[in-house]
Amino acid sequence: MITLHSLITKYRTYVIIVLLCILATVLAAYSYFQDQSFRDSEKNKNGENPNIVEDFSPNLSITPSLLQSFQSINTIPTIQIDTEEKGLDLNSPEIITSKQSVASIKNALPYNKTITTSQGLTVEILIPPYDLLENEWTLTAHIFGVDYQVPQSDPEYQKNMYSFQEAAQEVFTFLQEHDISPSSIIIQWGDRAFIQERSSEWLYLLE
Amino acid sequence: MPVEAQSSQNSCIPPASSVPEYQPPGNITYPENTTYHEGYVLLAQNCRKNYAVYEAAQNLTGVPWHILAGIHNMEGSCSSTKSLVSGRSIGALEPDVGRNCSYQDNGLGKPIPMAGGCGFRSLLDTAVYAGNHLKGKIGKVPNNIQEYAKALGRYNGIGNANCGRVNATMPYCPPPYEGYDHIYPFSKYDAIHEKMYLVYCADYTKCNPPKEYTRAGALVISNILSK
Repeated sequence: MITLHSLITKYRTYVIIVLLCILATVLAAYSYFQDQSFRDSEKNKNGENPNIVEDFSPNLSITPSLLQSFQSINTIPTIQIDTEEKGLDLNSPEIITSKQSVASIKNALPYNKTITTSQGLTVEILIPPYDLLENEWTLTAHIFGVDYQVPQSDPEYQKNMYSFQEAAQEVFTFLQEHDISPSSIIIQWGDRAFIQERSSEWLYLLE
Repeated sequence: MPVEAQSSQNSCIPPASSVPEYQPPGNITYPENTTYHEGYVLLAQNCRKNYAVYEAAQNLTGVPWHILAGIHNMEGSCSSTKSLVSGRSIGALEPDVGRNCSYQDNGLGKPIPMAGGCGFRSLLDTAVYAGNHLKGKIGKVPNNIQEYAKALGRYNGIGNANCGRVNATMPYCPPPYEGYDHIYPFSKYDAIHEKMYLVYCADYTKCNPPKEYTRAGALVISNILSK
């Protein structure tokens, strides 16, 4: 039999639960508006310049272990005959594997995708058709729209770095979709020396 | 010796007046009745000495010979001993190629191994390599002036595109298409592009204050030679 006392106890429990829910909602709303207010004040400090991009890290799933598994042209065995440099050993397992990987996506090339990064930069990712690749064992991935020469002290530095990293992520995703691991393919990021150097630097900064 | 091989090729080059007019693919058109400064015309005429090489590379890559001449002028002032890839001496190390070459893959247009990295045997090899690289920048042979502007700007690196990077008044900004504000294709091309700026004065170092770029871009040389 339900007594008056048990009814009051039950009612009290409901009231407490409802109050807790209201409190949680109020706290969440407060936190959101505080954050919004901070962002607005930062924008105001920047004079509402639409070119100024907030500094936040890109949303990436590139992991250090993935980066460590990269094939780099600098680690491929070379041949020397009578102390004369003969270049890369095309019979090395690394080259043979990479050749197979590149050949396996022959029909998926060219890969061309334009994205707007979280930094607001529009970048174009281009992996040329198979017959325009550097050679049979190298997958050249161009990421255009990024300024690779930007000085580290420049306000645009992080915007360019993060944008490159996000675009590189697209390349890895494309390879994953074709069941290719970064450890089984030699990727060359761009073709100018300064682009390759900056790209390596920015990829390894993720570590 | 690559340079000697080049000399023997040059002896077969026809005089400028007998160079046949090449019709580039697509609808690449240059401004009509354009007159360029005599100095630029002389620069372009200087490139004709390598016509046989550019033409051979054109036949192998599909990139018009006068575009290759424009690239060569930018990179190596059309010197028969300088590469179209970087302007370095033929036979010297090419930093852009790095170590990515092998004696087991050394056909025409391919870099060859040498002490410390890779380089090229001949001007023709650099011209073929350059033509293929230009195509690789957009995934095909450029077909109109917009595509050439894009491919040539990318060939140099987009860091030298002016809009948004140079603190000066520039009539070509905002660019109607990629490469329109880039010195590599368009410097001195027409009245709008008469005054352009070098963005980077050294690696990772912006020019401050902006530095006017005084050379003629690749499309200027190409335009003169295509007439």
